Parts: sequence; structure tokens; C-alpha cells
Amino acid sequence: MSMFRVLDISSAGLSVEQARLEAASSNLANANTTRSASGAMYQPVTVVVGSQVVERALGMIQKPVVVDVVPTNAEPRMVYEPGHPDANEKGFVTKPGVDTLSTMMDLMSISRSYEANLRVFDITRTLLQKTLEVGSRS
Amino acid sequence: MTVTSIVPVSVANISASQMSSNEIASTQIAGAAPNAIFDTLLDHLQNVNTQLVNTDKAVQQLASGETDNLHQVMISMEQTRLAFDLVLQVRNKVMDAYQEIMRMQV
Repeated sequence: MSMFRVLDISSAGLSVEQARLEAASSNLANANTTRSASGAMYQPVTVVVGSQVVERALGMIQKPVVVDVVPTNAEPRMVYEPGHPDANEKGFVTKPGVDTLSTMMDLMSISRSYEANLRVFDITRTLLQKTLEVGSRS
Repeated sequence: MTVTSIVPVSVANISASQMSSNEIASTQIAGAAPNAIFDTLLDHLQNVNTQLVNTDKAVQQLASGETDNLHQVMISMEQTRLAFDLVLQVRNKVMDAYQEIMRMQV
């Protein structure tokens, strides 16, 4: 429905931010994982976001869409922990290359983007509601 | 929604005028036009009802943990509310017009 197109676009934005939030939480939660389900090292993941032309919209209005969630090529950290079952012969344990500080910054940006999309949704809803009140104040 | 709501009315008017001669057509249009409005309103009500049922389903799925995004449920709830408000406003306008006509001195 044409009047709900903006709502669809901000809904797509919210979905993308949700995916980014999931990736960030997965990275943070796995910062100290030493073996993953497949046996290989946990690789920090990142979300690839693409855009899609909105159907029946004016011109090139696009909405974001999650294309893929891919592992990054971050170098693993070597932590000295002798006695750990996964330590090598020098006593170092390989841990995923999760950059906790930059992930926290990513979280802030995700939170702000999510809020921005919610705001767009709120404004659109208010405008639609005000439009429905046309002529009812007389 | 507003645009699509206008189209069936005009189509009904055009088909009514095409079917018969001028004199009959004018009486038919006079008779058909209010019905067309009510039909459109009913159509919209049907749409809103479908939306309501879908939203209800979405809320149930959310409650049973089958949905994974809250915002889509909330947005579909808002969409349904706005669609219902639109139908309500159209209904109010039609009722206003009807009452205005009933108040006329003959």
C-alpha cells in the first residue's frame, strides 16, 4: 500500500540494524572462545548491507537489505595461558581477533541508527494520523 | 489507499453510463452512486479485517516465540490501526453527508 511505503523502508532499516546488533553481540560474546562448533577458530563476523529499489516508489528510492553475514579476516590474538587445554607448546592460547573497543563503538552507532529509524517511523505515523484528521475539526 | 478507493466509484459510474441510454443512465447513476460508495467502504473494511487477522496471527506468533523481530509486528499493528482509522473516517464522512441530507426541509 502506497501510504505505508515509508513504514516499509524504516522497517527494513530496523531489520538491518537488528542484524548488525546480532553480529556485534556474537563477536563480543565469542571474544574468549577458543574452539568453535566446526573445530576451527571463531572468526569475528560482519554484516554486508545492500540496497534494493523500493517497488512502485518514485525514482531511485531504496531500502536496505542484509545481503550476507561474513567472517572478517581479523588476525587472532595470542594470549599467554599455560595450562589451558588449548594452549600451544609455548603456553599461548589463540583467541578470536575481536576488537572489543571498536565493537562497543559499533554498538553505539547501531543504537543511534535504530533510534533514527524508529523516529522516522514515528514521524510518518504522526503525519498519517494528522492527515486522517483533515476536516474533522470543523 | 485513497486513490484506489476513488477508482471503483468512477469505474462503476462509467460502466453504468455506458450500459444504458442517457435518461436511464442518469437515474441509474443516481441510484448506483451511493451503493458504490458503500461497496467501496465494505471492500476496505474487508481489507482491514484481513489485515487485523494477519496482525493477530503475527502477535500470536510473537507470543509463542516464532517471530524474531518485534518491530515488524509493531509496524504491522500500526499499519492496521491507520487503515482502520481511514475506514472509520470515510464512514464518518458518509454518515455526515447522510444526516445532512436527512435534515433537509422538503
